[in-house]
Amino acid sequence: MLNSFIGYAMMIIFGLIMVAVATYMKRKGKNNLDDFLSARESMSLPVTMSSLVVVWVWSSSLMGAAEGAFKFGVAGFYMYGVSVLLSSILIAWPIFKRVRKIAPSISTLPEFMKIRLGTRTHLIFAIVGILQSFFWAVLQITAIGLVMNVLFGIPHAAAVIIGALIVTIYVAIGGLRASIGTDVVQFCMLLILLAIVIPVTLWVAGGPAEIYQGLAHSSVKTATMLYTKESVTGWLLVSILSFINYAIIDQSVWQRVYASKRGTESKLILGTTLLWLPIPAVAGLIGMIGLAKGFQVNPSEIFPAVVGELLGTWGAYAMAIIMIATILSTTDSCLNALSTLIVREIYLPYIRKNKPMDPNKEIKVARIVVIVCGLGIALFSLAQFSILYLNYAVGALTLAMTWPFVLSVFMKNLNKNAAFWGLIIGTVSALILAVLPGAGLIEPIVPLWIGYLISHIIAAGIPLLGTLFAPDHEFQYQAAFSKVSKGGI
Amino acid sequence: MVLSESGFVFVTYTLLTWFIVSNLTLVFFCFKDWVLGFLKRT
Repeated sequence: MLNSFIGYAMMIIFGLIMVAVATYMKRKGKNNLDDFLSARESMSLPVTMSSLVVVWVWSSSLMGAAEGAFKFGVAGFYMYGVSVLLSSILIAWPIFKRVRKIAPSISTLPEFMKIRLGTRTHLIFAIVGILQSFFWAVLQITAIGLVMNVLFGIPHAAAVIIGALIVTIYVAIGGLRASIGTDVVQFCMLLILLAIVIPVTLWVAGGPAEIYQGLAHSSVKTATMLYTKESVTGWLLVSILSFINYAIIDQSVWQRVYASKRGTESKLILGTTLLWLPIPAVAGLIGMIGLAKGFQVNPSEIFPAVVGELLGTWGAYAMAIIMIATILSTTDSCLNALSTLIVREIYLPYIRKNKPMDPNKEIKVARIVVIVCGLGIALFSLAQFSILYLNYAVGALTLAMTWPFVLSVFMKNLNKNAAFWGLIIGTVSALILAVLPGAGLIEPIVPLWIGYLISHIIAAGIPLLGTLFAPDHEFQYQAAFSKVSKGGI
Repeated sequence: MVLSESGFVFVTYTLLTWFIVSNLTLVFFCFKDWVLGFLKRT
């Protein structure tokens, strides 16, 4: 185990750098709520792209990809990434191109749904969005507690409180600008270190030819096969069906799309996908090294175990910095998304009743919300919930939102009631067929991937059938969204 | 379908090159963006 004093020092130095970056980014902003929460159309393409890459790279992109490759072998090159590739190319790219064109003045998904499908659907999207951002942040902060405890022996509670404090301070200082600015610094740290650690680990392990021979003679007899029935049903299909909405439902993605300059959406989404795709693939290589070398560890710990074993102390320190940057970058995006949803979708419309406010007071309210949310995230993370359970629960919570949203963007005569009931019944189905069995709380009624598939079919089928039999009047997108002023309805 | 040894070696080096070149290029553009922005302000 590494020296715990160095662990504390690393976290504090990391925090000071992030606070300095947040202060610098804040000076570039305007003094109003829209800029604090949205930084609308003010960020260049490289900055938003690196921020989005680092939002998409979280602990699971490295550890989960390596774990899958450790279990299934060479399928680990592509099975983790396919879900995000499909989500980006088939859904996010056409959706954001259209949404940014028809609704340039909004900045959140619930805001879009309020205008398109009404208050009832808006409330569900807002509440689920808030829960998603909150529990994803809890998941990340729980992970930093685990990582710092395993690597440095720092008590879980201490690492959780320091991690949450760092993120809360810099997001409260600069809002979305701070989140994006610190993401860029975290992106640089993360990618430079990964670009050193992964090739060096491969070289120390003997190179690709030796790894291949190790895989061919490993305990997994199908390790050199690109696909098997087990890898397709146990990994590929579950991954595609649970992450197909990855690139469109998360508020952090919406914020970065709207913070980028108008007309750069396609480059942003496609460029980010191109940059992100090789990251889980090369992380999978570490899992394959573990399998080829016969590592006997918990599969979820294979990434740090291989790097720590083959590279020694410096590899473990590099691993610590990689994990801190990965986890805190996603946490700050979640905290920012959470505060944006609470202020924009709950506080302003339902508590303030959209009455005008002094800009300074508005920003003060937003900062208080950030601080309260940061405290809430730290408190929940102290409870040490199962990361696996949170991952499944959050994924399935948002599953049924996918199709009512996608259909509402493209179908002018979508039946609003059918879309609402598709959302409700699809969510219940995902809970029973995917979340609870996925977390091991009940016996699976059907295989997990079929549970996800049924929930998708319900969430898409009910709105489609409802529209087929009872279409609504044609919705006038341009007219409806042109009534929205920047920063609120 | 089995991935051959030469295929594995090729995929490994292609992915590593793609990963390093694409991401370090973006790191370069981010620095350029920030340095130019900083110089414009000062």
